[in-house]
Amino acid sequence: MKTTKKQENKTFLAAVVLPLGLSVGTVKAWSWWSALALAVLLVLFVKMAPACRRRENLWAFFLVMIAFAFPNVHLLRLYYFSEYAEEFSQIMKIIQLPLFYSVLFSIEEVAIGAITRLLSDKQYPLIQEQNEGTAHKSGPKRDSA
Amino acid sequence: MPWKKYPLANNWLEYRRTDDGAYEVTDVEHKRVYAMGTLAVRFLQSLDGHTDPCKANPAYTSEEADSFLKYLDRHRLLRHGRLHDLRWFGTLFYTIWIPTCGKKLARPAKIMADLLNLLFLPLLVVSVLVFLHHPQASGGFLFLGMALGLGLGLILHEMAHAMAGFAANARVQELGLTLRYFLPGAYAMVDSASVKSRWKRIRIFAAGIEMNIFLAAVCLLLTQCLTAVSAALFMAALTNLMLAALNLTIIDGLDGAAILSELLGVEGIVNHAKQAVFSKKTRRRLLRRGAPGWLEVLCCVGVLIAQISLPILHLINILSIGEGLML
Repeated sequence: MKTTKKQENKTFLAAVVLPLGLSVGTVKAWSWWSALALAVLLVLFVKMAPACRRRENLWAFFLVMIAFAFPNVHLLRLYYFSEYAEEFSQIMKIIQLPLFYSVLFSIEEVAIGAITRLLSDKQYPLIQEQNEGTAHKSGPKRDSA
Repeated sequence: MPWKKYPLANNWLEYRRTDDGAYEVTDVEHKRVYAMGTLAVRFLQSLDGHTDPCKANPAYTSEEADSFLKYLDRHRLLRHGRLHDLRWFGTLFYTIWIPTCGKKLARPAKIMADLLNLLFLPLLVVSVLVFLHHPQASGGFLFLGMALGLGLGLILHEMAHAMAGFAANARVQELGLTLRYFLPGAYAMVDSASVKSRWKRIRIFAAGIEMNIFLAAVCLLLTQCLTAVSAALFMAALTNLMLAALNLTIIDGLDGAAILSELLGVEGIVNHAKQAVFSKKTRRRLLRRGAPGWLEVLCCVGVLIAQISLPILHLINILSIGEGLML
């Protein structure tokens, strides 16, 4: 099924608004299960939305970046006020936060990226500098032979 | 005393025969390609450090051999010791082992890599559950536990990469110790590009992280048996978990970035991200493609933002040392 540019733009808008809503919802009703449910929802969305076809991993990366922003900040807040962080100085605690955010972000990206790739292996390569647009005409190119 | 008696060719060279009967010699590390004739390539391949190049290549007179050796040396195709070139400020490599028996190791390595793949996550879950039910963290030697955990974690991490490389029939060029951006560590040079299957390449990159998680799980389980040093074992487990988490970060040169590159289907995600964000031409071309183009640019921005982790990590190290000295 071919997707039009309009459809893609609508999905793009939905992919920004919906995950943000889900993200806020996850933080409001925080539990590890809700975070897991968020991840499952994202993978299902990417697998099912027609506009994400053949670009599932790219969409998954973007969605995780948005949807897990609030849960990650929530986790960092939990850490900041926890007894584990008490042994560090104030400066150290503040400096640690972006590093921990980056670690959490990377783990989520890699984990959900791997699941997405397992579910849909045939995808377009990320950026096609030389033969821009040819991927649509000649079908998906698997970058591993 | 020199490392080898005779000249030794760099072990990260790849030889490919071209259509006209000549060879393309690729320096994989420095990304340089040389065109050479068959005789020259045979000469280069005979430089194993043990044989006299003049005796091994009767086609060359000693003068010719000397001048060719000078040429090879000028182009850094020869090695003189265990220490590599300083490529970046604060970075050096020290070779420990150059594997020459990769094919023999393929089968046992495959069994071990499969076992690691199967066991690392269930073992972690079991060990964490056991530890939460019976927390054991008594005894001293905390610093020793951390140091041993770090040392063992770094070495076994790289050995796991090499093991996965042998299992996937990739060329494992060498293993050694390194100082990277002033941080001590170990390294394994595995030519993963020669592996065709994407999942095998991902397994090579992920093997080190899996090994760190496995080690952490084993240390956590050992806290139940060796109660006298359980605090040290707990520190070792924590250090290995931190190593695994840091290695998963999307920083250029770490395993996380390599895995993500494979998952997204691009060679070198960080370089790609730099190009997509900082090159006006590429960015415009991408944005013209509509939603997928915007997506790519936004994702690339995310990847570049993650790069701040490395300077932060250094800052934390410096501050930790400073705090330690002040105490």
